[in-house]
Amino acid sequence: MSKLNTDSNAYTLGFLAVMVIIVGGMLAFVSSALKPTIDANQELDRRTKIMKAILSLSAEEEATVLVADYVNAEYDNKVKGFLVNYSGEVVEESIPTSYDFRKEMKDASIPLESKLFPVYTYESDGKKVHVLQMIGLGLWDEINGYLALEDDKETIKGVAFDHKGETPGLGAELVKNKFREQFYGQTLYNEAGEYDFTVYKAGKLPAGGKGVDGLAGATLTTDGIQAMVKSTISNYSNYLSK
Amino acid sequence: MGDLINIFVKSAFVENMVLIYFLGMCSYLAVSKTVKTAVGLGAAVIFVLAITAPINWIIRENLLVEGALGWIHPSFETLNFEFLGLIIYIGVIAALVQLVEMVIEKFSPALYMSLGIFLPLITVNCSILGGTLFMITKEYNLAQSAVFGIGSGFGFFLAIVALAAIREKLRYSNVPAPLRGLGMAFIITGLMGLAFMGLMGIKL
Amino acid sequence: MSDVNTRKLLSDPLLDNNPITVQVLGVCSALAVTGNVTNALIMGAAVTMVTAFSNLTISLLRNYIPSRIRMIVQLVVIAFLVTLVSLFLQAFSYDLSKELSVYVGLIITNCILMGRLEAFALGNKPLPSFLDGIGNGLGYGLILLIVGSIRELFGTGSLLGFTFFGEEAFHNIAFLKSGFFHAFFHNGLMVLPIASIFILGIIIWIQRSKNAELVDIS
Repeated sequence: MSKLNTDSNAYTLGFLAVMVIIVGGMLAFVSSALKPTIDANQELDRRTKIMKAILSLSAEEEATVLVADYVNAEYDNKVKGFLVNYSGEVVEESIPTSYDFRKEMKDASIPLESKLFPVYTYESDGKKVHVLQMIGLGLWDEINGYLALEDDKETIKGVAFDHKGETPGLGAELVKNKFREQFYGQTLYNEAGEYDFTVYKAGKLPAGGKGVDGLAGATLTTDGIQAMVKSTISNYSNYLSK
Repeated sequence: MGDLINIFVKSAFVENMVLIYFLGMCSYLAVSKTVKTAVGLGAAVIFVLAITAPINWIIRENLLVEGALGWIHPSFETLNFEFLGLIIYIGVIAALVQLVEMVIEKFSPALYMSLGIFLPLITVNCSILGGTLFMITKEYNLAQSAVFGIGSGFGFFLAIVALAAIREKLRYSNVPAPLRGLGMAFIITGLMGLAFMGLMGIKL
Repeated sequence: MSDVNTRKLLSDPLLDNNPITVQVLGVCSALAVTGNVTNALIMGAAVTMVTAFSNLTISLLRNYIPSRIRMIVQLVVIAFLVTLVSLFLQAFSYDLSKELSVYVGLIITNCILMGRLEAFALGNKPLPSFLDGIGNGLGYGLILLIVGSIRELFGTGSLLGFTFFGEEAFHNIAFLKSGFFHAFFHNGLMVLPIASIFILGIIIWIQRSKNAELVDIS
């Protein structure tokens, strides 16, 4: 061991090369071995959010009902996804794998009128639930989710949210049932047929009034949710009025 | 352009690496005893962040993400090397820090002496790697990530110089012995963080 | 190596030479991920694994590493282990990996790792290095656990999903159902990452008033 000159250039380079090959090879192996599981997790996460919005269950029910097998079976059999354009016409009968909702919405080079929006429908008991995809800005970063509407396209069936970096315990509470369950059964329009749905600042919800009480201590996340729901309904307005 | 100024202000003040995300605390607490060394370390961090963020962006976009290698041969379109990301980012950072170390040693031996062992520690300063990782999750483009790097570095500079100045003054006050030094530095950082939280939610 | 030494390697970093409160290493993640106990535990476990195995690897290689690229070799070993942890989290605990997001990657720059490699693994045999890694990882995890429990309990009124304070506390136990436990308001400050910095400051205060050797003279 003492004969080895660990400071020579050749040794240093050789050591680096061997190390890079070993480490790179091992990582490539592990990553390709785990990739199917990771992809399946991401897909399941997306499907679970859609099913959460559609089924509008309570926390206990979600914990017991929404297991992987059930979500996948239900999604494969009953959920149909398609793309609509701004005028509300169906352009693609299924959602192509190349379609990326976030990219589509963020791409400033596509005017709103030429963007395509995904819709998921879920049929049970002869009634259709329409699921719209939402994206918006919270306090720190992106917030997103799914909004499920009843057959009449006016009443909220359920909703599911997700976020990238809201404050844990405050803004991040938007994923909790306690907040989401307030949306269930609310109508988006007033008697005159105008859009009228507000996510109020925490504690500002008028007693017995329409709307949703916001997240305590997270005014800006709450504002972000309000803006996100509003812009989503406006994006899909032509589809909804059909 | 306005967009870039927004990113700068946001990364330096509203989303300050140290006081809001608490990244880079190790060297922040260790090198903040005097203003002079704090300025040196702060400047080094600005420099390193300003270079590593865009370089790592270029590497990621052109070599690592799915479809990035399509220019070599169409069959490489499906390759995705993102799992090598962490190793490559940290490698780039380590190499650059080494470079900064050599430059400082050559041009300012006094600063080199006073920074001492803390220069290599920039490599393991979370705010540097944090800069790269946040830049990725925020999906910035090249110019934006460069500005983000400079802004975050400036935020670190500001925070460490401010803490050092307070600690210099603090030497004349009568702090309970067990709280002296490190304990007090923590409490002050907390108070500074609370103050910076007042900037939260500024819409830019 | 005697038993006393082995025990010291494991127990020292828990208290008298704790990586966070005494060596001031690895503070960043201690502050950001301690919002609740589950995250704190997972982070502690991940760091313990990475410190232990990186210490072991570097100690095995210590006579072969070219001195000029020492840092790079250490970082590659650490980054390799962290990437593994991150991939396994994504595959087997997707929700947690989403919640910890960039902080898993930031384990790489957790100074505990580099600090222990430099200070211990480069000059010691594999087994003691491995134990030193476990000890330091556990010491780190212990502080995370303490901070996480305080923040979760007072910030949200519950611990590991079980509610202790607030309206929903003990709602199925009649004699505890009213009074003291309900009068509690959640402390908004405790929910924020900033709370952990005050808690750490106070932990350091308590620790140093018990052990005068640690007091900072300057």
